[in-house]
Amino acid sequence: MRSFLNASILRYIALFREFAAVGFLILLCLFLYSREPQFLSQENLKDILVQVSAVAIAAAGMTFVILTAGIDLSVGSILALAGCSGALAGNAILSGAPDGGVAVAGGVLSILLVACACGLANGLLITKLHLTPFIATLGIMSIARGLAYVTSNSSPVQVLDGMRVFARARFLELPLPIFLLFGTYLLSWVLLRFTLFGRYLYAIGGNETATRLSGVRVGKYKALAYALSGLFAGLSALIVAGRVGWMAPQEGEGFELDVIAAVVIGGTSLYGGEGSIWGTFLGALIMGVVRNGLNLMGVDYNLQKIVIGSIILIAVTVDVFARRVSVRS
Amino acid sequence: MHLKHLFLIAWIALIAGCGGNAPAPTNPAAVGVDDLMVGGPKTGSQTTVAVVSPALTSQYHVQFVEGAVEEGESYGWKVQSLAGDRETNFAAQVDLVESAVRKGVEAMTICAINDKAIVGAIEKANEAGIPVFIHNSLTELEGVDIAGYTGFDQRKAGRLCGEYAVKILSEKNSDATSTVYIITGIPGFHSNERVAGFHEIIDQHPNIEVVGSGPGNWERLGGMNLAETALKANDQVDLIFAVSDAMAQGAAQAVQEAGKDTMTLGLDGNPDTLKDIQAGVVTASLAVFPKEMGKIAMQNIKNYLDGEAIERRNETPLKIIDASNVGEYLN
Repeated sequence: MRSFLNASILRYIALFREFAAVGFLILLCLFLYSREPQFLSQENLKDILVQVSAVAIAAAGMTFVILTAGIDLSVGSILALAGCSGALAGNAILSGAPDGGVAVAGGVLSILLVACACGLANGLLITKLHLTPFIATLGIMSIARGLAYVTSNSSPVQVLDGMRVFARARFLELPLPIFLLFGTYLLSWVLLRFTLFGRYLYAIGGNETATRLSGVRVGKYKALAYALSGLFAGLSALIVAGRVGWMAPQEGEGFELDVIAAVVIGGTSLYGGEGSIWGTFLGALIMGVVRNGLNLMGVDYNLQKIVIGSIILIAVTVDVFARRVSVRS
Repeated sequence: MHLKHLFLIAWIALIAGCGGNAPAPTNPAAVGVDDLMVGGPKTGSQTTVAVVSPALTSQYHVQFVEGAVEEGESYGWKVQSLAGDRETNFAAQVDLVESAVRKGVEAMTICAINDKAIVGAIEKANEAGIPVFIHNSLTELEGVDIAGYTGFDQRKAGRLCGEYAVKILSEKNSDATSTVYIITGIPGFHSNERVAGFHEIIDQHPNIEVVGSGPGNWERLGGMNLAETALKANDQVDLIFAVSDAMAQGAAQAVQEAGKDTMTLGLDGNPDTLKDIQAGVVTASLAVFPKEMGKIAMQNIKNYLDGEAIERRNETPLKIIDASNVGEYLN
């Protein structure tokens, strides 16, 4: 009875939190609109979704990882390595064969394969060698960044025009990254909500030992979570490469911190087992809205950092407070 | 669950609906500034120009923006400064240019983090028909429309440092062998060109020997660490040339701590370096006058908007500052 009560209180808190986050986002939008009428123009709203897409997509992958009480510090480096090697692969195939379509497909496939392989490497280090996620992904972060510099010879690599389609083309008046963004979130939602894989991730984050003892192959699912995080970082690389037109080995430095911030603002607990994919979406959106709105207003980036830092602290304080209230009751 | 759906629907409604209230121009450049400023604090048909910096984490870009704002405001313009969070965030430059386009600026000047990885951002401005200028670089960009460039020749800057090095080393050692250690930035266009220009000059002098070089990553600490090692590994280092002031200042600190008489030469001419030159800590620096560059960039844009003919390449002044003339530049 008691645990049932607690569970329902927790659910109310989660609802309250999402209400609060949506309310905060709406207030934020109204404030920015009052200062800068261009903010709510159709084109600018599309800009915001495109601008957040890279961070938001990687944050969906990060949500899987953090739900298992893990962390993935390597997503920024994976973005650079996958982007550089994919761009190079595209160029190499194009110079070998005259068919542009093959080169584009090869380049895109390389981006996703390299990214997924890096993610899988993280997963195997953690599950087979029993390294802590922080250490394993810190190692891969450094290795992937180094490889990005080596493969690109320390200078930006031009991205084939065909590969840039994913970031630049429009369908039904909407830029393609918006479809990638919503596609990724719908897929993640389905995975977390309706599959054993998703349920197990929550269980692993809640109590890994208990989950293992009940016969779940914990290692397999954890490795899969890191592989997905890598793969999603690859999708982000595809968008960044397309938008910038050149892929530099420095790209994505500090990207992992934005991604983790989106997940944390979205209410997913770093201790694992609690959180939702739409929370992460909200978190990424709040960060994107703040950046875009303050850019339109011409506010200095250093101030933007202070604002975003404050939002992280406020969001987490609300969580901690809500949890303390639930424990007391 | 229904709440989450509600949120999604609300956001989609925002996208779909708000367009009706504030119709987006298909070509923002064609819309007058007045239309975009409704409700804003600005007045009348003020000209707005955007200055896009890689990041405002170094004095260099801050000074450029100061000069640009000062000059722009003297014309009655509003100068909007936009910058990324770090000098490696290429994707942020695209976002910033997009914001400037939405804002409907008359022109923008961009300092690219890298002269290649800026193409995606410039395409956005080109599509909107907004004239784009480049500052802090004279390298022609390919595949995009640029109205003009303002900056200094990096190789020439390296050569000027080389000539000054030859001068002070021959004053010190006359024809005897002199030794030089070079601190580079993170390898890339700016660092490579400066080092190459420096070599062009000193390589003509067989009595000047380069005893080593290493990357100080543009940072003070990086310069200090390299200088420490170089001073221990070599009996005598006569001059340490660093391709940026911060690294030269770090090197000078290492020289002081090691109690050596090694001279240090930097490149930037930052205000705090000038103080170090006056105090005798740093020997000299090639000043590149970023504030002046900001003003020149704005003059160029003004001439362009006024319909006058402009130079495609605007070279900005360079000057060696050492103990002999530092007084003129300190204020």
